[in-house]
Amino acid sequence: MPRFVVAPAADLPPGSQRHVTLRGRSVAIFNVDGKLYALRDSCPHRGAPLSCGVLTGGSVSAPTPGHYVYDSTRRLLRCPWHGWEFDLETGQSWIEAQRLRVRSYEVAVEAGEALLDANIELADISEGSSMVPGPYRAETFDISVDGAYVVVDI
Amino acid sequence: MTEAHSSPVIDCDVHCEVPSAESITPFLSEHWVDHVRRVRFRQLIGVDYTYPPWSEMMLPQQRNQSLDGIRDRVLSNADAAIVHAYYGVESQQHPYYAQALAAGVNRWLESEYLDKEPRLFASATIAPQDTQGAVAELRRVAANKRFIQVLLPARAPEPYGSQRYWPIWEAAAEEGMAIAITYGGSTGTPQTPNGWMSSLFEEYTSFQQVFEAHVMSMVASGIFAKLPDLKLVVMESGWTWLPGLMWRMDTEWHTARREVPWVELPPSEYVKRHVRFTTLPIDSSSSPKHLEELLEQLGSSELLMYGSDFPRTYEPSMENLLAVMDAEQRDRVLWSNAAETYKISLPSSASPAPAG
Amino acid sequence: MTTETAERPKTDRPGGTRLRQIDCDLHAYMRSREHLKQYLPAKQHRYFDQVAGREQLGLAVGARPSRSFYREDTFLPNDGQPGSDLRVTQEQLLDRYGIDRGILTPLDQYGVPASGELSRAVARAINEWQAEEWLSQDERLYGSIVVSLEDGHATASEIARAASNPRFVQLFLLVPTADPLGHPRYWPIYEAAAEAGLPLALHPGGFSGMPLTGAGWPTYFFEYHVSLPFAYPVEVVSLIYSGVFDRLPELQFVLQEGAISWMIPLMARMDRAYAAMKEDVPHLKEAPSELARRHFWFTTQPLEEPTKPHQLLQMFDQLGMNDHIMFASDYPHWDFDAPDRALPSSISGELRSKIFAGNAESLYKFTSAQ
Repeated sequence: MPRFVVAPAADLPPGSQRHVTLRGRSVAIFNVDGKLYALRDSCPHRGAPLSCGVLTGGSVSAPTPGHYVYDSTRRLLRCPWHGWEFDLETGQSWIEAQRLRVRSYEVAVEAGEALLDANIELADISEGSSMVPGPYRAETFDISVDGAYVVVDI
Repeated sequence: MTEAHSSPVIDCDVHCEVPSAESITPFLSEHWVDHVRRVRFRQLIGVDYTYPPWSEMMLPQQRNQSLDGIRDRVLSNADAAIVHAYYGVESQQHPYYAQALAAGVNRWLESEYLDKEPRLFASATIAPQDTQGAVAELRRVAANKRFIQVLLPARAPEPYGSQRYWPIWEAAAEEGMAIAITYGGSTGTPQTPNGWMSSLFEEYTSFQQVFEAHVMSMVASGIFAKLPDLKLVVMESGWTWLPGLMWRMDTEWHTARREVPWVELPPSEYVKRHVRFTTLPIDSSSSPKHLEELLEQLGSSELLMYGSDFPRTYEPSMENLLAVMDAEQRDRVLWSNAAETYKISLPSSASPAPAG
Repeated sequence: MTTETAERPKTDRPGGTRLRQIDCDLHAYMRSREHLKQYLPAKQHRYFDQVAGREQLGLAVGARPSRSFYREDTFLPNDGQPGSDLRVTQEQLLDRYGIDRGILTPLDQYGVPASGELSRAVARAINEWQAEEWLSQDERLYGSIVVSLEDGHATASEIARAASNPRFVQLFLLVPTADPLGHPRYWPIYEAAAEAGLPLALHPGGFSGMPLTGAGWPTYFFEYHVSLPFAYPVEVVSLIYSGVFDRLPELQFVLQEGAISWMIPLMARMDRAYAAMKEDVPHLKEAPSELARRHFWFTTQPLEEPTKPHQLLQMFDQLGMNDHIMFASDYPHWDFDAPDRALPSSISGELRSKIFAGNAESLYKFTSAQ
């Protein structure tokens, strides 16, 4: 399974979300309160870039009409176009979960030391998604022994 | 229908006609009898507006909607029939007057049709603009188990998912009655978001959106989630718009789920579980291929119930539809969907044919 | 390391010919009301401030689940108005998907009364702004002439003026309208359109002051959004009944953003009523479905999305209007259809290329050579 170093961990602080391309594959990475998530950056409905999505404060259900039950422990990613909602952890759709799912990837922070000799690639990285108004900024970074990096397995 | 069918037949859409105001005055209180005589009351405006007497299409000249006429023309082909007498009570704003007339119609139906013919069941008229009064009338008629649903006109000031109507739906569910929405009605306001149209042709042909609004409203409101036994019967709607509406609703549901989280299943699923459609008219070409495709698009053989819309006749006909159905679908549309919806058992002479 | 740029969508057909793409519902917006005022005579500014925004009265339905009506990724910095910056529209839509032509549909008409001096001034302002800031800046773009709908004859001169710029390819009316569109007072507008040889596009977004359906106002945004096309059957029936197509046989109407499937039962019902009510419609010389098929067009966003895609083909087959369906993205709205995902793969070959370009080329008289 190819592994990619996506960014120095410091470049993906809590609350950030961004698009990266890993060998031609679009991946959306999110840091939610210090926890990292990676999903295929394409909504299964109509292909919208999920890296531009909105993280909701929670999920909503209703045992009966008008009785909104708000669960702030289960935050969902809302697609930037049609608003379909997905669980960041599993990539499953909030509704019709059996039918709809976004591919999710393993993502972790690892020490530079462990990465130096590993068979690993650096990601193509752009500021945010290509869907965000330019100008784009190309970023490069080097791996240093004492740094910490976000690594994605695809 | 002209051909004989091996399975039993329930005709879910048969119109009676209140012949004159005198027909119902025996069932009104002294006050309202005095009123209708004093003002030379003939009928409410909703009746002529919905079924203009000059229109052969809406009111065929050669019609006989008396009990004899229904025995001759309807019960000769059907084992049971569900009758109603649309009386335009929604077109009168006065809540007590409207409700008094509704009760008069129901008592007249009971004495002229139900009491005399055991094969008939009926839809009760209620005035939906007065929620409390409608509930009271529904409870009153429910004592007669052959009132199996309440009748509402499609034209309404608010779509039927609106909370103002919920007490009526709760009472219906408790009494085991269905709700029927039928073509027409008058609210004194235009039928369209673009104002008044200039002809019956235009109002009749552009009517589908009114039915669509109610089905969507009932689904979105969550009333079907709240009342799992509630059944909605949509009468004379043309019904072929339904696949398109279900497709659009199921798509938009993903976007709107957060707004209406009580809609826990795809909207089309609530339609399949809770909503039934009478078969005539069929707004389609007569092409067997098209009819077959429409049945496939409905995605359930439980949605349609035979309704002749007597005394009107249509092309495509019921025979056109039956011709593209298999035996199981025919059984469902001719009787078993209705028998389940209304929880009615047929007179013993009409024993259900084995399926297939 | 290089900057990632947009992935090129696979719009090339086997055999090498590129699929031409025309976007027939591409919303351009002014940055703000102040922006519009730059095109409005100073004496109108105060009146404009009083009435602008009234169109919002019809939008207070439900709890809209997203920020406004736009794709999240189309907002300009500082919550700037989506669709108001040509460079972003080029980048996010025209360049990214290789759109050959786009027809601007200026949705925001600021809710001013649909007749009178101010209404005519606003219409003219929107037309001048399109020409100046969009059409002259990108040769792929075409304009839609905004009219003062209730003004009949008075607005005809603006239609003629704007139409003298050949890059304006249609008139643009918002529905629901105050009266069904067959009403004779709208006919001067149709005559001006016919004179200029232009079709009329209809788009939801008008405010008539009447409930959105014959069953009253919907309650939830979910219903509202599915109800958007409910004005269309009314407009279609009214136009057909009015006899305007007898008078102006070239007249064409484009029904935008209203889905499609409803037209099938409508045509069947009209034909049935036509046969049953002959003496009530003596002026109709042919079946209403014939007129509907000849004079009405659809844009694809939103296209029905049956879970079984072959049912979409059944729908097209029953409709029998394959020459009258045209691709639209609805950019920058949240229900945007990306060209590479707008149609299921079951719609292929000639039908696909007609929907993406051929039909629009025929309606708008574009030459297909690019």
